[in-house]
Amino acid sequence: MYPTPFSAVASAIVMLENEPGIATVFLSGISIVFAVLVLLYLLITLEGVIFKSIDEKKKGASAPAQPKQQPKAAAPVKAPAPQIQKGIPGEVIAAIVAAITASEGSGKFSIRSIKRAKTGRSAWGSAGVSSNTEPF
Amino acid sequence: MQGFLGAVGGIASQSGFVGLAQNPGYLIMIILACVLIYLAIVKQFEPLLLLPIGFGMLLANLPFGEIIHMDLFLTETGHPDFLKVFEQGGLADMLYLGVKLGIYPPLIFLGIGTMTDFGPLISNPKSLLLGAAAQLGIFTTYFGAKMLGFTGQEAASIGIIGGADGPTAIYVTSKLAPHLLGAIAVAAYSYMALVPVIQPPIMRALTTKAQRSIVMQQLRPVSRTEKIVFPILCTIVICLIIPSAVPLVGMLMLGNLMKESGVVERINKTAGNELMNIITIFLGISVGCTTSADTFFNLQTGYIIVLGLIAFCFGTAGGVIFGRIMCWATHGKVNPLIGAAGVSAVPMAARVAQKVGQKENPQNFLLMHAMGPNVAGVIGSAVAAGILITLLK
Repeated sequence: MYPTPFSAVASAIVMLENEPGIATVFLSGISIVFAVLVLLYLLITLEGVIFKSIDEKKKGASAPAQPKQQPKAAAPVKAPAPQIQKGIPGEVIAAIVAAITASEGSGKFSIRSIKRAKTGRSAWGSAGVSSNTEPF
Repeated sequence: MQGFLGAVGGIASQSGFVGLAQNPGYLIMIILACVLIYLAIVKQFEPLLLLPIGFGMLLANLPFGEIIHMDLFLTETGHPDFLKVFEQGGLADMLYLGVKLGIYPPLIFLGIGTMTDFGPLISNPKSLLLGAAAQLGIFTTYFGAKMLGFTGQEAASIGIIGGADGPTAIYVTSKLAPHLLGAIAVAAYSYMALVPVIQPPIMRALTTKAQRSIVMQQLRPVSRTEKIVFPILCTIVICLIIPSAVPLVGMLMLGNLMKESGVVERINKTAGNELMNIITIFLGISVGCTTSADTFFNLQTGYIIVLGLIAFCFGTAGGVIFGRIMCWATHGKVNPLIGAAGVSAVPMAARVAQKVGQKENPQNFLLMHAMGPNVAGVIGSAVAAGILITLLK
């Protein structure tokens, strides 16, 4: 469009003498990209398998240790019946016990009592808390 | 009185208006620069890059501004006249050195590596194949560009737009066809912003409703050790096979290793924030300044705009078609839509896959599954860049 000594010079630079053919670039380009990524895929899959087997060995080592300890501890100590406050349904108790088991992990525990907690917060207080935590 | 008139006359004759009168192309470029700035600010098209690029375009097309001298870089011998650059160069000449010497794109990749999570890729390595398939766009565009009469080096630089990766495109173009850098950079970033518009029709056309609704299996959790081994392994394997990929792939993986190791939090934060931001500013301004009326305003730029669109379309198509192949091979375990995310506009392409999948099945959360091919595409386009540089340098 405009007199471009620029593009004349520019195209002089980029003229390669031994430029590979179109088909060569197309085919070798795609195949090398695939080859490299396939190789990576195989290596990562292999690595995943290796790590999985290491994990399983660890689990296998700790699992036999656990059942040995369990039967010893189960024999003594039967805890007294827990005191549950009136009005708490059985499903709620089951949920509470399940939540404690999930968070405490493998520790042994026995429920002593379950009581409804006082919220201790007025309506204003609750509104303040919820407006401060709203962005999250 | 004479002196006063002489001085004013002298200033007037050196003003930019004289330059505009001599070459009205500058005026059109100034308007185009304002359009780019509008797209960046109002439409939010990749503003972090398009705003400095647009403004650089504006600065370079204010006549007699002397902010950049592309003739010092695009010499007849192909070697920039560095001595003259140091003696006579303007601001953008100095900033452009970082592009010419191949410094900025690898450092941006360093920052990108600190922000990338390869977890979804490691837990589902098949995504690497989808990342490879989406690079089809690069090579079909190379073919198209050669058909339109571009040289091999120019065609490779145009083709790499299909890698949907700004730094990769700039790196390859600055090495193979620096006179096209401005046009290619503008095309690359504009199309990356248009991914949510370009991809869905192609994705819908190449898949069935049933395939789009496939819900994929939960990804297995990836241990920290695996995430540390991955970048080291990738670097060694890729860079031994294709040495010219060392700057890009090496920096990407270094950034990722810095993030995953957890022991270099200070420099990890800097690489992903301050360093990225500084380099982005320098890169945007200097690339924008290369687009003056004489280098930008020709049929070639028009072809590049069209070919860029073809690159993205074929890349999406390649990824989705290979996704269908994988769907068939795994008996329906892979949703072909995630193949489109192999076009490595992170995380935009993954989000597009998520949205299209959610339209068919509102309970379908493909985002994490799509991130695998998305980051694999970054690796794939860096490998393709290395191959093109090796074949055509």
